[in-house]
Amino acid sequence: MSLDLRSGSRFFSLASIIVVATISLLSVGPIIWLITGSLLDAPPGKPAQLTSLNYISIIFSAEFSQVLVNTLIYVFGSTILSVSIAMLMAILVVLTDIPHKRLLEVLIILPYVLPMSLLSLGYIFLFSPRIGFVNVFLIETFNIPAPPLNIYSLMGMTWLTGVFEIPIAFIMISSSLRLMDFSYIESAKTCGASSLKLYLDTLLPIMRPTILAVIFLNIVRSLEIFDIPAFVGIPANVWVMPTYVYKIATQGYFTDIGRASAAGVLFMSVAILFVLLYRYYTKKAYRFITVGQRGLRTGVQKLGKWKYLVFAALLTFLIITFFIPVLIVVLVSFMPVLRFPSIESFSRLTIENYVKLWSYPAVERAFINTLFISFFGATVGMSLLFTAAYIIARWRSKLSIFLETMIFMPFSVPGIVIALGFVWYYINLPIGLYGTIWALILAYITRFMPLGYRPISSNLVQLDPELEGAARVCGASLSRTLLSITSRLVKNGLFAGWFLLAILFMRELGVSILLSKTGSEVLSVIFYDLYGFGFWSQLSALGTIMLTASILLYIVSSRLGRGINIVE
Amino acid sequence: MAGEKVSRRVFLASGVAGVVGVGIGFAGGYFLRPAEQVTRTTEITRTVGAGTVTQTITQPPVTITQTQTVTAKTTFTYDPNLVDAAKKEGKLVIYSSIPTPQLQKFKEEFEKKFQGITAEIWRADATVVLDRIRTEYQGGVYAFDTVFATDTAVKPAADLGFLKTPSIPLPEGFLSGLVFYYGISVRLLANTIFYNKELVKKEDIPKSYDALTDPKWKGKIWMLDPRTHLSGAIYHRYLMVDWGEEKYLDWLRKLKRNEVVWHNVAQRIGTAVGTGEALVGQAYHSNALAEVLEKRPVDISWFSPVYVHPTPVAIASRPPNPNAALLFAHFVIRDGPAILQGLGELPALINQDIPLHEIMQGYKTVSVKSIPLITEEQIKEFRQKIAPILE
Repeated sequence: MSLDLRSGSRFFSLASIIVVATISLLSVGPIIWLITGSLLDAPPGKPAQLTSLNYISIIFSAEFSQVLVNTLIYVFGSTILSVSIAMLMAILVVLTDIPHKRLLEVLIILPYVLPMSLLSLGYIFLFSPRIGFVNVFLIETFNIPAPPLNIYSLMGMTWLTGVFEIPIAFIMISSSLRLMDFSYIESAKTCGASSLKLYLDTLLPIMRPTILAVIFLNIVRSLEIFDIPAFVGIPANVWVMPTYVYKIATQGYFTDIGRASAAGVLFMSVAILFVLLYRYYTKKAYRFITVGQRGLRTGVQKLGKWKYLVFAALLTFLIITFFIPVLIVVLVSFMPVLRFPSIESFSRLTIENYVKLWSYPAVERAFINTLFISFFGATVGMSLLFTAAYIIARWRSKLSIFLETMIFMPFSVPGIVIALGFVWYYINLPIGLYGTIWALILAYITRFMPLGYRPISSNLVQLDPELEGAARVCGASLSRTLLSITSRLVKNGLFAGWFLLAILFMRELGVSILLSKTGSEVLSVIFYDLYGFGFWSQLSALGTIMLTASILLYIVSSRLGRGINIVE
Repeated sequence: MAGEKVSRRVFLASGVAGVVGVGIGFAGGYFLRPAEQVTRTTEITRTVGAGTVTQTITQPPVTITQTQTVTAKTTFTYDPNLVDAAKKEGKLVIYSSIPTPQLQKFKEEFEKKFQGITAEIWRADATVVLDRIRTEYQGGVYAFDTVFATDTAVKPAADLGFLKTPSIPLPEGFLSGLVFYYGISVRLLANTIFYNKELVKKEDIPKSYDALTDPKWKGKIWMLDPRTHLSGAIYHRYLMVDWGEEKYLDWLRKLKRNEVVWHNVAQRIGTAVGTGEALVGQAYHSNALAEVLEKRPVDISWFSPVYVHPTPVAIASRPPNPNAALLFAHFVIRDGPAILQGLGELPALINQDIPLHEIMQGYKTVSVKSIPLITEEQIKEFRQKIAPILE
């Protein structure tokens, strides 16, 4: 059965026109700024001539080949690490009877709300060659002459980025797994498939669009992450594309818009390539439809006597990779002096850092602004992206390729470049946005559209349109069908997207620092300040508050949503 | 479901909407760009020193100064007409690269002294401040009144015609070498060598630049990277000029052999020393101060001469609140040094009534050299010279 969107589709037509125009409007300004900037020998607004020197100076620079090799190892290493571990975790949590699922899920997701610089600090306390607790312990215990582990290395930053990307990969994979029709697995089992064969032959092909989406997103995210390569790569003189772009862009008095833009266009080309690859693999969407008219069947794989052992193994991994570093950050927030926590330091715990933090300039207003932007911005963003994802999933025409490309384009541009693009664009857009909190919200939505779009689009691809067709045949309008049926069936994707956007809006820095002003301060700028001035104890206090706020946000939204959460 | 049939009208309308979106974005961004700004001349004549001294200020002013000390509080009455006019404006917007706690103190003191004027502050790194000023002015947005930032932000903005130096009487004893055509500096950013007090023995404290090449420091020193850090490059090039090329490059080779960790975030170097990751660090005095304020065991080893970057105050060429801008410049020049000194900072004029911070005591014993800014071409040329040594 084919769903004819023409009947009663005035609402759909209007929504489509608004969505296509809005997303084009949001994306195109910074992108034009980027492309023209990369091809001119002077910054936008100055008399300039066309040039290819910006590209040539990057590609043919002496260190570019080394940077490229480092970047490939770093990006693919961290992506393979994060996606494979997240996939395994998602399968265990969603498809098996592993105990304490809710606890595990919360433990996996929550580290994502911590700023990368803080997680990096936790790891530095563990694996720094001079002061790292693990190194000191190993050297003293086994009488090793040199520190065996070094966080300041290519491997260190690959591991750290991979670990940091596990939660986002987990959210996307698990929300898709929940929509699976378990009859596929039951059928495979009936046919005598072994457990391994079951997953390799049945689950992986079904999950292919989601896995590809997560791989793509993680590759682009790794290219975009700046904090970790800056924190642990620069001291080791290991440069990857994000830090290299920063390095070449900020060597002079002004940001070198030309070369930074050229690097941005190269990034963007890679992103577009991945979008096209993704579309190629998912064009026969019906192959992945797992929620159909037969109804959603649920079931779990029994782990039997292994379930507690598997639970213990997973918990141990989470404790080592996330919770010791996070715990260090929390402890540091209660210590008067930044140093590795010891038994003795427990007797000196204080809330002084929290008191000092609260007296920091504009911190109160930044809290309120950040909460507003996160809640409101993520809600507006997901409304826009749900409509966009629906149009793209159902049309699958050249226009949907255009729309999807528009969604992805700004995300692939380095933060330092896109931030200047937003300033330039909002100044010149004749609607008085510049300097307002609305400019921040729109910039955030533009920058992170793919992260809100992917979970919902993965869900929609798996949803049989015949369900909507059935509702339409019964007389429901398209708007009612979307609100009553489609949005409910993809509620996991909607919630996952909303949660991701809210968290990212809380942490975004590159755009915030340029677009915020008195009255529109946000927490990430306070973070940046505290980090820049070495106020690590107060920074840890702020990180701990944000972590607590996110846990509360998670619990409250789960309760209010009566099951509309990542766990269900 | 692939290839879903859609009304041609809807398809066309959406296509048109997309094109219109692109068109509006393009038009909004591209055709509404402002007229070109005029670049100002780099040589001006102005009056300084309570109207008693006239001097021609040319760029670059390669200045060698000594620490200036004042013994008594300067009595100064702000021009009541200027104060009234500023109060009528009621608002002041400051862009700055100085640390937020210091900027906040300036805001509080200014608002306390001139009640009725609200000071709005925005703080970022010097490059970001400069980028924002340029983007706003080229976009026809004149949002700020004054800038209080390192010279790497102020001078290029002044050269583009976006900033000007405030024409105001200066306190007695104010160093003429800190008056530039692009602004007046009351705050100094000193390049210093600092160390971890708990991990470096007193007899081992480095007392000269040469001491850093001692093999005992191998892998234990973190320094600002002249290849990637702008002020770091300007500082290192000045060392080369001051010492002579051969001596400087030889020193750099020895540092390389000593496996110095090069970093482009100054405070990160401070924290590395504060936490013991590094034993010795080279960055700014303010990075050491931040560590001490955070109760980490850091002290500065002062040796002569100390090389400083000026941090001038300047006013916007088109300030929305011109009187408040000028009043703030007065305030920074007159009251700023005492405020900075009270915060543990290094002001251009040291007030003997206010104790210098414990780790700044050595500053009084050394000579001071102000580092002049250089062109981007000179920076590039210098980096090409040192790259083979440090790679």
